[in-house]
Amino acid sequence: MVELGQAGPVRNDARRELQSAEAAPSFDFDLAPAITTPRTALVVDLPGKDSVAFGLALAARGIRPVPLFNALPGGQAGLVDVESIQDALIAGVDALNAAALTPDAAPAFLLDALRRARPTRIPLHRFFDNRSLSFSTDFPSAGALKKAGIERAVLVHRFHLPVPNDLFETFAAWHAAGIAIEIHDAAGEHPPTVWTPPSLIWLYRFWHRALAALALERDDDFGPFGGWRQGSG
Amino acid sequence: MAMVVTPPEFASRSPLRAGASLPAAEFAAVRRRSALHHCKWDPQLGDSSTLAPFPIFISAADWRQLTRSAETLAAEVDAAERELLQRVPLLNQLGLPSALRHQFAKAPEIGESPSFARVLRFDFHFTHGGWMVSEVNSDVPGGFSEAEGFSSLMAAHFPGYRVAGKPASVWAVRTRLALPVSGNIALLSAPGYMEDSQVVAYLAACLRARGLNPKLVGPREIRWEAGQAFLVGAAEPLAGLFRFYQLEWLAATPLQTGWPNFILGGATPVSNPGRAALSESKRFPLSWRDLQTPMPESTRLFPEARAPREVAYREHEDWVLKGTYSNCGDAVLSRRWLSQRSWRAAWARALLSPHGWVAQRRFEVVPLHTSLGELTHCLGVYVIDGQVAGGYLRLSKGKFVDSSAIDAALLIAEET
Repeated sequence: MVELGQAGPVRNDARRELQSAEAAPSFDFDLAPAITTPRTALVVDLPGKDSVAFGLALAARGIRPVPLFNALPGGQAGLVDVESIQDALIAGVDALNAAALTPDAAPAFLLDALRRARPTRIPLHRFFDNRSLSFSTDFPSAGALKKAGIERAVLVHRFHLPVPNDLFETFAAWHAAGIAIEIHDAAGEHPPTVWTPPSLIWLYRFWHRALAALALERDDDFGPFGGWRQGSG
Repeated sequence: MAMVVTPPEFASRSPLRAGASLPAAEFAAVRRRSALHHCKWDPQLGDSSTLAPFPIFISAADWRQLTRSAETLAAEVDAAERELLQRVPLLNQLGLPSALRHQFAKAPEIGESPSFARVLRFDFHFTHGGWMVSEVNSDVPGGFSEAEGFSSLMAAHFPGYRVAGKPASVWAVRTRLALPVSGNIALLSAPGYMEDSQVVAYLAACLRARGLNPKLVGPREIRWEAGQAFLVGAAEPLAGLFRFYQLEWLAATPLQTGWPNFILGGATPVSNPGRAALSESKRFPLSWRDLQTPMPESTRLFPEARAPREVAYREHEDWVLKGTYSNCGDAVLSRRWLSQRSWRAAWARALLSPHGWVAQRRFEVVPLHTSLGELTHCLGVYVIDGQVAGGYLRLSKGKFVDSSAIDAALLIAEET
């Protein structure tokens, strides 16, 4: 079985740090003007319910949260806790309604940073692989963003992690169209950085496709994705 | 609101007319309700909505004509499948995977597994020569939410028009009539495929609304014991099993998973029956000339089909190649959208693997003029237990309708 965190360029220490964030209490969000500035599209890549909470905080400032949680709930056996995201979305309905967003509000695309990660502990003998990947077709194209007046995109996440592999294709296309890409720490503990595509972007593309084809759990008999797997203990 | 966008050059020819687009705010509400209440979980792909903001209208008389044709086709397909089960040599024409072929060959000795609520969806196209049917989605037809939930929401905005039917509700009612209310009904799909999960989730909601007990499962959660299907860990057998999982996929798994019970010798009622895989084969029309079952409506409406080796080289451009078990147009090849080099390569593949392909005579679809421009169409008509239960359209800017098509409501003009 391939472990995504070990297979990809994401560093193991960073992955562990990310997973520990799930258990940690929510942090204080940094909604600095650099994030909420006009003509900016946000990609919020935080652990599930924190991503929702951050999106709701943005909604109060006139930014439209766009949930992109493309995973099925798996109950106790699920590798990814989708239920807590569902709960957070439902709990946020009133706050979202109160936000009174305008039709031309800038978007904040909400992702679950743990969508590809494997928990450090598998609680059951058999578990359901409900991990997922983000694809460029989940987002508007660069052309659509520019037509809507977007000139800048900001990835909001934590712990100064690198850009996740599955966002490379999306960001590279946006960058090629002249949209500046920045990375901000959601807690404001690290300085913002500017992202540019690596020179070997084709290698990352290849890697992402290989991940999509191979690294999500394959069920031995029934093919890829959504497989039931045997736990190690 | 029921304005019609009708270009003069097509007005006298096509029985289909595109309506005007809903205002943006109203259509946004339709999309939102489709997603939240009718399990339409993929309403957007990149920059494109996968739902058309306008309906397609058809007159009641034209719809009746389609209804008669579809029900006749369904009866012919059903009879043909039953004959094929008893005539093993004819199975060779269908290009079945060997594991499936092996199981179907036992049909004359082993009884067919019981089944309930048979669903077929015929893909109609209006051409310059009238209606044609490109294929029947016989094994695992989807699109229930688009044909019922989304279409009903659209119909509410167009007074004087009604939906063509409610296939999900009809399927649920037929299931309710066929199965005991108390037992669990498993709805099987590949849970990693969101587009499949939304279909079973929608049907499950329709069953639940009628007092039945649906369970959404993957193939690992079913076990078979003496022909009866159980949920893993359950002591009571299932009352029924809805299979939204292509039989040729299941046939690629070990026999120990119990998949042959979907076809033969099983005791748990299944929907659709395993023999649906026979007519799902795009090579199904090749068997008609050897059947005793008369297939007049099928012969009239389906384009001519030949084995690739029966098509002369100089005629290649008059044909399209279809993969024997292809879905959503993923293996429909034509010179019209392939380069000369790719087209030659496709024919080489088809000739080297003749059972994996069929040649179907090309036909020209009359385009629909819509607010999104001229679109190719495919009108899916559902037949459930022999009776038409609804329909909807898929529209494409390309030369044919594939997985990138958008869905449109089919609305029938009320007769005054």
